[in-house]
Amino acid sequence: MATQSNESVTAYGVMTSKRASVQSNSSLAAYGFMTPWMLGMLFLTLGSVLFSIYLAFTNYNLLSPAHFIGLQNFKQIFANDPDFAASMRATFLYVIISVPFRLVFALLVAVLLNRKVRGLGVYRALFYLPSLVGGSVGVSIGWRELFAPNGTINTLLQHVGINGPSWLASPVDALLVLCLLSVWQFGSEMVIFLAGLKQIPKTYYEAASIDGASRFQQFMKVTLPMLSPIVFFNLVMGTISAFMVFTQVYIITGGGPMNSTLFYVLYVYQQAFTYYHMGYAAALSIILLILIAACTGLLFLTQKYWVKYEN
Amino acid sequence: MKKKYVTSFACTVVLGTLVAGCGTTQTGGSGNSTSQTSQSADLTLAWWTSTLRTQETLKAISMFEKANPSIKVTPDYTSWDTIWTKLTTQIAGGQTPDVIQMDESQIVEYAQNKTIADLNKAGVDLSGLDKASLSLGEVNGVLYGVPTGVNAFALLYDPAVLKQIGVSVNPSQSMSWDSFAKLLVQIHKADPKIYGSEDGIEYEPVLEYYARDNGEQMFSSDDKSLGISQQVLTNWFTYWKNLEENGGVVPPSYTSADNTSDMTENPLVKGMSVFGWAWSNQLAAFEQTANKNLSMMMLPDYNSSSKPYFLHPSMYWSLSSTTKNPQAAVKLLNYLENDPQVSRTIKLDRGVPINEANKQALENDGSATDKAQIDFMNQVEKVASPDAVYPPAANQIQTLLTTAAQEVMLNKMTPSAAAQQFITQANQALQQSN
Repeated sequence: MATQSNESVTAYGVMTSKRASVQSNSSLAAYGFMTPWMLGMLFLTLGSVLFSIYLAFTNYNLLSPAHFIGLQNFKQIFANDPDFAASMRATFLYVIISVPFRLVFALLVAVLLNRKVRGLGVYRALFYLPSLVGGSVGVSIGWRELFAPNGTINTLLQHVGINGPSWLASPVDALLVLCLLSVWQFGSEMVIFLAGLKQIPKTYYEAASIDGASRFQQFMKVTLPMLSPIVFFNLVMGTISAFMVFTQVYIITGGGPMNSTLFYVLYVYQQAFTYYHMGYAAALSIILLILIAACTGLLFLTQKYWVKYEN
Repeated sequence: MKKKYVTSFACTVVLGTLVAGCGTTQTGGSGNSTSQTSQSADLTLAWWTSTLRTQETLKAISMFEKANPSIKVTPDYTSWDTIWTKLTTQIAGGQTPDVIQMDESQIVEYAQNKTIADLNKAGVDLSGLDKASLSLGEVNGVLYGVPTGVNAFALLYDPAVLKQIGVSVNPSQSMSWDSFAKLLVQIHKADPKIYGSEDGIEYEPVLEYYARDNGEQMFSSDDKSLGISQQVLTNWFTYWKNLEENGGVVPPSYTSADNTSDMTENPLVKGMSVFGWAWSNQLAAFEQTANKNLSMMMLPDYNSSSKPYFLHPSMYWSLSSTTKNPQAAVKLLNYLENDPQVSRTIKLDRGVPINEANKQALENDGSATDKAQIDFMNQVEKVASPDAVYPPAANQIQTLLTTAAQEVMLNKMTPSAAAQQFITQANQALQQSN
């Protein structure tokens, strides 16, 4: 910073030096604004993360102090825990189904909303609304009631003469109900897509249409490649948050039926707080941490095949 | 320059709040013995609840506060589904409630970890309590919980519906499991819109009863494995499977979609079935939730020579071993357990009181519902035989049973395969917890 301001003094005189000092002031302000977050990260998050890494190697039941047992938790998880396998299966199915559908849906709506229509702001706000309420308890309870055996959906179906299934009683349907909730909350991805769409220069489309490209071709050849960094960003963030979904499944299915929706974090919670196996739960969360890191890393590796950065 | 001030000011404020935040928690957590000598005390009372129980207990608390103006009691109540999570988190954070409503499935775990105190040493007034029932609160000979009352598992039913469809039962006569099944099917045949009963397949206490009826115990004597045999367990699953198929109980699609212990979702409350399963002390709460009069009868085969019935401590009052105000906490516990006015408020919602004077008073001038319940428990007492305290992994056994039951219900497993799986997993859980 100091050398830069010296240079600017010699090159542009006093005026720029003032600007430089404003700049260093504002970076100070930036640090100021970051301080609460950094402190939170240091004292709240980091501490807990380190402590839970320690707990993973202990036997800890919350009521009395933890004692060290080495790798026993991990051995148990991999060698002899059918619920771990069930939760892996459920979680991966959820990630694989919900993330792509949510992205495609968000992109479609973003494209639809990216034009000049009257009352556009209202539409955008309306579509964003479901993701504002996000993983809230109220929405989950509402969703459960919607799909209950005598719930809203089945009552409506009955009016047109269809006997609706008991959604939450079937392993496959229950998983799909949860995926549907995730897809419904596409708002934040949509907003990011919208911002990305706005940044694509109009000239590209003009050039394409002069060359006789159809709307669909324009979408495939211009929009998608230009948007790929944003798709990538949303994909990574969506994958991470899908691995960590909890509230919805805790309330809507509680992991059932037959553990078909026993998502990983719910299983961690069960071990920790229902069975008092806090050490075991900590070991499970470390496995999740590694898993998410690996999946994210894998996505980053695929980047060079499909993500196109402009420059 | 101004910006700089603003920035540093903001930082100071933020830092200040953080430090202040730390400060208050620390004084809250470690400020021992300060209030020991002074008269005033703050207590927390934790319990799991129903609408009815919340009303009654809050009333009891305000009566206690009126009688002891220097003591303030903070109510800390939540549903059965969440209490243990909440409690363990509070304990791990050093904020153990002073008086805790404890359950049989948890008391061993809490006693072994010394989270709850030895009540004989604490000086709780046990003079008016029935000795045999009091011993239900002992873990390895030490009293860790004073039973609030005793209860037993029961069948609740809606007599008005039975009358309407022209089916009759005789509660004073012991029915075999087979004739009970026939009765349930008969109900469904009389009115295809309703079912005989709520599905009992997932109820661990009923399974325990069934095991005892077949001359077995749910858990082995050393608590390291299940006592129930694969054959009996297979019969259990098959029994319910048949009833699910012929309308004797509500369809599996309903049962397996319901994942809470929420009373409002109970088929009996919803009018879907005539019978429902419950602990005897829940009668009044069920009546309030369903807004109708219900009757209670004993489980099938209660007269059998194997003496399947067992008395169960409905719940206990336990004392935190780290309470800052032991004297005040003991005072509260005594009050809740022994005070005649509290007993008149709570009635039988926490079981038939083991305080003999209070029980007598309710027997003499309680409502019809109260009398039915005391009557029921007197009947049960005549045919009951003792039962051991649950092992620490009891809470895990219920989850495993639910999963196995769902596998049978939804045709993913045969009854015998599900029985095999349940036994293997339960034995593993029991071994690890000991």
